[in-house]
Amino acid sequence: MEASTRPLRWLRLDNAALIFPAALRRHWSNAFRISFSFTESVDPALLQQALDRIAPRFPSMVVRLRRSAFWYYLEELPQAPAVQADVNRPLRTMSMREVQRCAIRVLYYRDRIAVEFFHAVTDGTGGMVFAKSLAAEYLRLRHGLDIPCVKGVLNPDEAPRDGELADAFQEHAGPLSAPRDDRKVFRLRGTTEPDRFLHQTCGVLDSAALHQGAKEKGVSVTAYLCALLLQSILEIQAAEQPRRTRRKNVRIQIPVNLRQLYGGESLRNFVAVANIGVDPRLGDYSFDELLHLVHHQMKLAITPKNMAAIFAPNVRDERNVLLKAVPLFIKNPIMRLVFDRIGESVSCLSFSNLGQLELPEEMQPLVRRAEFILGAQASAPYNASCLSCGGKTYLNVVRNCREPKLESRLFPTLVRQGFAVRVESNDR
Amino acid sequence: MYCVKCGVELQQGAKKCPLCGLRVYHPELAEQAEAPLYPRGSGEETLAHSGLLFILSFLFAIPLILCLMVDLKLNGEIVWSGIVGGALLTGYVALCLPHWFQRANPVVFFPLAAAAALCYCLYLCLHFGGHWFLSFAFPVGGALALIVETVIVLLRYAVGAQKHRILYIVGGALIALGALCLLIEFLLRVSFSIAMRWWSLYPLAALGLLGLMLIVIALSPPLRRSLHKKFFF
Repeated sequence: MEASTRPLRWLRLDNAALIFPAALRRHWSNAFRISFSFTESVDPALLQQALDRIAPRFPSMVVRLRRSAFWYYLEELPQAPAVQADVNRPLRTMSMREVQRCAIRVLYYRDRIAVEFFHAVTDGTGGMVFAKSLAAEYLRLRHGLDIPCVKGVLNPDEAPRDGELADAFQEHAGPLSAPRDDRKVFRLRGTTEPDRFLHQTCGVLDSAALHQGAKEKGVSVTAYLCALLLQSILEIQAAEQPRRTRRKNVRIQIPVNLRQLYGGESLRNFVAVANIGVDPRLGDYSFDELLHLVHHQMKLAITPKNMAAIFAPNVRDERNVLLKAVPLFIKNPIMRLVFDRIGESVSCLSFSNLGQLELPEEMQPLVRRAEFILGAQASAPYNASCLSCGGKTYLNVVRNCREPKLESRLFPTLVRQGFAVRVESNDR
Repeated sequence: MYCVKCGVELQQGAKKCPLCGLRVYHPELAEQAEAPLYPRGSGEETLAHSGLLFILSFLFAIPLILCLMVDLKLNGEIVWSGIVGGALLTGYVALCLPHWFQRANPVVFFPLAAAAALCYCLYLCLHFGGHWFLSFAFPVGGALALIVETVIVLLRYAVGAQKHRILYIVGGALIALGALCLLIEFLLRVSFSIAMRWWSLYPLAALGLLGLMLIVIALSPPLRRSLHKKFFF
């Protein structure tokens, strides 16, 4: 049935998304961006056609945020949003007014298309499915290719499946809650850009070399990069606080794709975080020590039972009748307080690795590059993300402060470890 | 091209290393600049205030029209509604009118607001059958408006990078306000026969000394530096 003749579909926010509209503020929104660079310039008219074609296939993503008396919800848009020319301001704040019109942006610049998602809509994995399907449809229109709907590319002619629209948290929440680790952590600081400009520093590495480096140490690429980030933050803290006993924990939040643990095809948020870190008061850590700690902490934390216990309290709160009955205008400031207290303040930054990008063979020669970036945190200036494509790994560090403290330690360390790193930046 | 300090490869045509800020220079290497990661320009849209102003205009108009209607109904002519209406119109000219323009220049809009306030005073004077407009309100209001307008013009066009000139301007304005008090006392005596003598010397002394202090600070760079160090925020 055409979108114009049937009632618009609406969806309750999934459990992870409930907090994001409340946490939205004037200069910050929780958003992320996935981009594909092709081998030739993008035709905006064809991109719009491709978006119009795939939009009905993603009724949980081509949406706007609306508010009811007690909760926010997502409402399908009757037609896809207009594609926009990109600007030198990745992930510029999505205001409440904007997400109430449309919660995603589709952008183009030279040979690149990018999709920016308000996090209440989906997570990185769901966003990647949308971006791949959009890229595939665009390449079909542009080159007349017959690209099969495999490896995360969805068929725009199919109807969306129920499993794609389901809130998978409800099904998998554990019976018990894991205790929240709310010990204070070291906060990276810097001179905030007055206009909250997001500096993006992209380190391009050879994927094979990075895999080999991680393999030699017996850890995954995520663990390797996480250990590097921890080491850089430990160095920054040591420079700022010479007295060891006064140093605070250093912890990194690693989002875990729960589909890998529980299966399912949800295109909504289905992600929980594992907090990996060390206590610098105990002594100095060598890089190998950090690698071992990160590797084992990840192994211990990322199990189906443990992750179910991590998101169980959130699901329980959502089901609480008393909480449900509180009007949204009262719930909002409380949820924002919870987000500030226990959402972000328990880690120095988030590091999200979407892994190796898999594309249908027909697309591979035409996709030159792919990137994934997270916006900065609300109360701390940094975040980091990673995606591998076409033999290259794109390690992105974003910040909304002036001083490149973290990057200036991270990338030279990689160089010293023998990796060739090419650095690109959007600095003004 | 590589950064000699960090060891990372840089974008072609990069002017400096984004990690350490080291400037990149190789006299024999002429490199074509790569396309930047993002296009120039931030794409920030400026928020139009016209919707809010439209509502504000109506909010000003509602009491104005209601007062007129009630006044005409009760008295058959404009009696007290003129006072309310004049106050509302003066407030609208001073507070809302400049916001209809994207770059409202206070040099233009302040005299407009001052003129509106003086017209309102004239209306009150005529309405109550007084004789104080030409002998008191016009010279005092005019002199005050002249001082403020001069300050606005000087702050806007004469300061530039020389921030200490603000001290001269504010100091001069304070002394002028002190002198205005003398004029007010004189005109009060002439217009209203108020016999209290020489009260204006007190504000003149206080404002004059404050103004003088600011001018002395402006004249002395070491004093400015020391005060800046103590009180910066």
